[in-house]
Amino acid sequence: MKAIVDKDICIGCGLCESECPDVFELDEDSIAIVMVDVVPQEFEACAIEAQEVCPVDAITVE
Amino acid sequence: MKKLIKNNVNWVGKVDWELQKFHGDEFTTNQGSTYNSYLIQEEKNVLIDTVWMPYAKEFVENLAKEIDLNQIDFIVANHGEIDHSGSLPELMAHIPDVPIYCTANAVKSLKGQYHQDWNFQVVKTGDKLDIGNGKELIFIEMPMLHWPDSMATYLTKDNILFSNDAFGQHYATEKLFNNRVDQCDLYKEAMKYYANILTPFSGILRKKLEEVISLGLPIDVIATSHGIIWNDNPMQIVEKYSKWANDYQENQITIIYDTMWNGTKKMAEKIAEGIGLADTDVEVKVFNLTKSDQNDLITEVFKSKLVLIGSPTIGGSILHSIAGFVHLMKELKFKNKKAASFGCYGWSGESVKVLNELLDRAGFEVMNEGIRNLWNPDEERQQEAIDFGKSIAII
Repeated sequence: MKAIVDKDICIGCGLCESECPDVFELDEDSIAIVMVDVVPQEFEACAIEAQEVCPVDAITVE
Repeated sequence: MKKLIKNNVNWVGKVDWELQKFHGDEFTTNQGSTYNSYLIQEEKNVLIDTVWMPYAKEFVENLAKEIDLNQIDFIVANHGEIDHSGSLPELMAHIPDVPIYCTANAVKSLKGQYHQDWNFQVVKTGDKLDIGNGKELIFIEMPMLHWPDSMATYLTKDNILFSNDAFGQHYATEKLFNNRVDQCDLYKEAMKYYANILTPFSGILRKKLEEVISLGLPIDVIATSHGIIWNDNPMQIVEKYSKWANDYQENQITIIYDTMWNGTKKMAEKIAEGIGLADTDVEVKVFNLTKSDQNDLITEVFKSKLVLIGSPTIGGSILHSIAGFVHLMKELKFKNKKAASFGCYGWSGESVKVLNELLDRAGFEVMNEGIRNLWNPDEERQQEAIDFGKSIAII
C-alpha cells in the first residue's frame, strides 16, 4: 500500500498524524507528509483510518 | 460586569440578545447567543478568549474595570474564529507584548485575520502553564472540533474545562449556569448547535471524547464559549455528545417539501397520513421548507431515521430552495440515514430522479424510486401517496 498526501489540499489539522503517526507527520510548515515509501502491513489499517478521518480528503491510499 | 464562575475565575463575556443570524446568514440564532470570555486571577492573571469584534470596545472597557490591563500576564486563544478572537486587536493595542497561548494553526488563523505578529506561544496537547497558587493550565488540542486550530484549556484544582465551541449553544441568558435555565430551551439549542456545526466531525469527536475521558481529569465545570456554562453535572452534556456522535437517530420520519401549486404539498400530507396509519409509534413531521427555519429542519433531519424530500419539477429539475437544502444535508455528512423522494409535475417529471441522485450523493440510503404525480393528485393518486407512506414506514 502507498499513501499520498495532496499538499495543496492539506490544511494541517494533524488528524492523520494522531491517527497513524508511523505513516504521517506534519512538516515544519504544518503540512502532512508521508514518511514511508510503502506502508508497512501493520499500519495499513490506520493509514486507511487516516484517509477516512481527513476532513478535506487530501489523503489517498492505494 | 464580571460574574463569578468558581473561586478566582470570572466570566467577562458579552450576552448578545439581538443576534438572529450567525456565520453570515448560515445559522439562525433565534434565542440570541453569548460570547464567553473568562478571567482567571491567581498569582498570574489569565484571560481566556475574547468576544465578537463588534463588541470589542465595550469588552475591553468592561475588562479594564475589573483588572488593570497591564496586570494580565497571559492570554489563551482557544480558537481563532472572530466571535472569540475578535476583540484581540482592540485589547492588544493596550498590551501588545502579552503572550498569546494557542495552537500552531491558531497562529495562522490570527495572523491571517488581523495581520499582526503578536507574541504567540504555540502549545500542544499536554503542555502546561503554571499560573501560581499551585494551579496550572493544561492545553488539549481539539483539531476539527470544529476548526483545525480548535483547542480546549483545563484549569487544575478548580477542575474547569474551557471547552470553547464544544458543548456550546447559541442561547442568550443572564443566568450563566445550566441548572438555572429552561432545560427544553437549553437542550433544543445544544442539539441544534451539534446538528448544524459538529455533525460532520462526529467520528473525530468520538475519539476525542475517549481521549479526554482517558486523561482522567476531574471535571467540575465545563465553561463553553457560547451559551450557558455546565456546572451542574457537567458530564451530562459529554454523555449527550457521545450519543449524538454515534450516528444518532430517534424514531422519527421527517418530510420536507417545497411546492408551486400545492400538488407536492398534498402528496407530503398524504404520505404522512400513510406513515401514521402504518406505524402509530413513529414521530412523523411535515415541513414546508420555505416556511421553516432551515437550521431547525437540519435538527429534525439529525433526529430522523428516514427523510423524505419533495419538489415539483421545474426546468427539468428541482426547485432551487430544495437544491440548497439538500446541499446543506450533504455538507453535514449525515450517516446511517435513509431517504426517499416525491414530487408533482406537469410536463416531464424529472424532480424525483434528480432528488434520488442528490440524496445518494449526500450519503443517504435511497429506499426506492420515489413517487411522482402528473398534475394535482386526484382521489386515486392521493390513495397511492397514502400507500407509499404505509410502505415506506415499515421499511
